[in-house]
Amino acid sequence: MSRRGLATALVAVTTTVFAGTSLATEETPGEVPITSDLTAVIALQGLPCGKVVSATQRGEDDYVASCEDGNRYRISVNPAGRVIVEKLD
Amino acid sequence: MCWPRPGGPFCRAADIASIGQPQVIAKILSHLKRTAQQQYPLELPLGALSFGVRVRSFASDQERLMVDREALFVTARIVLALSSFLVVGCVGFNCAQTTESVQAVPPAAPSAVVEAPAETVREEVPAPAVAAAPAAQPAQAPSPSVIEPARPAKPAPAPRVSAPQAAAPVAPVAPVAPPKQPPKPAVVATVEPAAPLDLNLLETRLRETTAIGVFTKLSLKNQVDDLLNRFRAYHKRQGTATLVELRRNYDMLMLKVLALLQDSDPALARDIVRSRAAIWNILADPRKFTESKLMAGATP
Repeated sequence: MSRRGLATALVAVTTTVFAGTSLATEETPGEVPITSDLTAVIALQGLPCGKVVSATQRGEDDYVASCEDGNRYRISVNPAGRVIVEKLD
Repeated sequence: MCWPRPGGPFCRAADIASIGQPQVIAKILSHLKRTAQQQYPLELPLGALSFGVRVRSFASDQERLMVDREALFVTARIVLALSSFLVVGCVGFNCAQTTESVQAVPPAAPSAVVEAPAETVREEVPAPAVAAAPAAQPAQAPSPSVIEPARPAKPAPAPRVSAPQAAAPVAPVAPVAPPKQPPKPAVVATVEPAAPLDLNLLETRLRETTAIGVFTKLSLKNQVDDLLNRFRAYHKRQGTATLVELRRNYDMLMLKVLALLQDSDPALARDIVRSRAAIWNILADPRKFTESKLMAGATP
């Protein structure tokens, strides 16, 4: 096999592997993105946010959400099973 | 088949067409060659043409007369039948019109009136206002027979038409009441379609839907539990909330749920909308609330 053929095969394999990896990291269809979920939770609490633009996971069932209006919230689930939304400064 | 008559032998058209003896046929044909072509070139009566009598020419005046008579008889029968149908149909139509205009009148005893067309109805309308007593009926009854003396031989449809007319002034108020029965539509209107969801099924559907995330489901469950606790307190007469406030909270929660579901799970949102009143009835009624096992504690 020529050098050119080897290069083509290598590019193809690399592309396939990375494409699969990126697909696997995406959320499965039908699952709600965490930003949308947090947006809905904040809205259910009646707090101002608009839309969550980014979310950082701090632990299991513990997130920090940044809203498009600049507000930041901590959303977590307490041991009693209640969803707690705290406003961060 | 022919038989003698004062004006000459009479034969039926079918029998003329079925002559089968060769000698008679030959004689007729020879006679036709001599006379018929010149005297009667294809002159047939209308009845003979229209009813398929296959006689092209006639040997003599007697044959022509016989065919003419037969066609005339057939035509006369048809005309008579049509006219009788027409008369019966007109009488029936008049009967229907008259009975519709004088509806809800109980059938009275058939009187001896011959016939009562629409003109007589118009003439008799002011009569009940003047003489509203049943004793005036015999005086009015003979008038239609005087109006139409030309048709005395049709008594059959007369009782139908004349009976409601004569009975109209007798009791106009009492028969009007039975047709007015509005409770039937009211009963139908109260029957509500079955709600597709009760509380348990709503909870199951909300758990299974993929339209909202886990945090949202948990948050919804928290709010539903809070609302149920307030209802429990209300039914136990422990809380301070009124039913109006509970209704407002219930509506707000339903609106939140619908806002979350209407785009991503429209079927569930539609079912919730349909079940909204039924669920409220369960929550607001203490007996239904207890029967639904909601009084015991929080939902699982």
